Amino acid sequence: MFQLSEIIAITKKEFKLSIRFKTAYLLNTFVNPVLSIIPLFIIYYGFLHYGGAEGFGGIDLSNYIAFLIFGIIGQAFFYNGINAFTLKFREEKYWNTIESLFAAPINYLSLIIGVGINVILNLFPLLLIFILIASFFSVASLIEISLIVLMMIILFALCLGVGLIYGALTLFSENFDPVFRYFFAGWTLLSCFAYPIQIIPEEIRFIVLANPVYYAVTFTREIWINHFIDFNAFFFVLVFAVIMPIISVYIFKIAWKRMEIQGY
Amino acid sequence: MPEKAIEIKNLRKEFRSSLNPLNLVEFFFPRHKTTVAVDSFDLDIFKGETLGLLGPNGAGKTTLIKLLAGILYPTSGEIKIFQRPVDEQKINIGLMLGYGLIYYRMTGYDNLKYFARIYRVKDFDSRIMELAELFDFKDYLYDYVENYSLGTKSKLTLARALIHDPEILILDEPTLGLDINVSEKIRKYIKGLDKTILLTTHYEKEAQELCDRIALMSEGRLVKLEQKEKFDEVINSFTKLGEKHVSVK
Repeated sequence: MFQLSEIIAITKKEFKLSIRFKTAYLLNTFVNPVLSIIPLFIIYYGFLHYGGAEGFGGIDLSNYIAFLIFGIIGQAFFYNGINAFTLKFREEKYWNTIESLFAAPINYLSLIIGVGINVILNLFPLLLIFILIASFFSVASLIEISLIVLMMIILFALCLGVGLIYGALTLFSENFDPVFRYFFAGWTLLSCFAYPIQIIPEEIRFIVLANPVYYAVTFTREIWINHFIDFNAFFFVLVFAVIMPIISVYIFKIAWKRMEIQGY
Repeated sequence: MPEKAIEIKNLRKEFRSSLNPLNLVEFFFPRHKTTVAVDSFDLDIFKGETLGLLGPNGAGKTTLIKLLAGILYPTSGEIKIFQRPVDEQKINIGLMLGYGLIYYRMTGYDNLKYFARIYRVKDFDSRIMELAELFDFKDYLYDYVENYSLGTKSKLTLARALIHDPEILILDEPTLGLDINVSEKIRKYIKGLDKTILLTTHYEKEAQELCDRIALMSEGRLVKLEQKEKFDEVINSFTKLGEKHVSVK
């Protein structure tokens, strides 16, 4: 079974590697996500304020900022979870350190948790800043904020599990990389991070309704905007978050036994 | 009969690689080449002995080492470490593989601390200091590894392999590219260890000085296995292979 000391060691190592270039680390952590939300604010503000649009899919002038903020937070956790291992493995592949990972008696669940904690530590300042910004427009209770944070951790665990499969396969062959990226682009579109579900054509809306990422984001929005806790959505996402890391470790082990690292 | 530390039975490792596409058809339907890196390999290494593995470049020595360390999985055959599969014995193996396996973007101390925690070393601080003093890199311990000289990197890599005081030590060309003084010091240390050691080297002197038995590998196969006393026979066989990769240092 995984050990706490192993997880702490992996987390610390990952953190030390990520702060080797401190300025880049700070800019990537704090500035980039804020920059990414600005164009969306401008578009929504323009349509709702000057364009004459009254609202769409439950979004109006009173709540569009919270709507976007929780969409972007969800997208950041989704994106970082999915890409955590691909970036990690690719770095270690070219640093010639990946073999130390496989030669060591590391439990792969510890690896997921250790790498995950480091990425989530990088994401937490962003989460807190965005929640603080959203608090200027409407206020949530401490329990509601805690549930939002918990949901983001659950969403992250789910994405990290998928990310391990993506990372493992692209480690063995980079040919998998674009294929996965097209899949994730589609997944992103069908997660409704920056727009309501009503924008998706009805014919394919059922895909969105089977997508746990959509429920994770909607859960946080519903809490913040309507003070409604959707426990069905919570447990739906939780089931995926528990299953995915276990499946991904299993696939990772099989892939490692049957495939060879190519391209270095 | 001494206890077997490592048992290798009928080991085979194939690599399948795609050939460089020469035209559009091959780009979409690439041809593949299968390379046999290790073939029909049988070897027992006994507890406490140092076995030297010689062979020309491309003989399959590093592949064999990676199989023993659990980095690669065999295509067929079996490896047992103290009668258990490799995956269950990783904690008992110390591996030195060139200058790899260490993080250049961390300090020497952070590297050793990380691996100490991974290999469950309890009193890791004193162990790190002990190894840093032993290999004479205490002054550089808190510097980024990227700033180390080749020799210091090599010492750190060896310290990494030894951090958990493993029962089995696998060393792939431990003194490659090092100056005489550093090489001498590392050799002296290895000689004084009471461990099961598998060592690959291109240096005749190193093999003769450190090993109890010498194995010669060529084209993935074990072609000769002799006691230290018959070292010259192994070298003669090596020469007969038409290769002259063993240099005198």
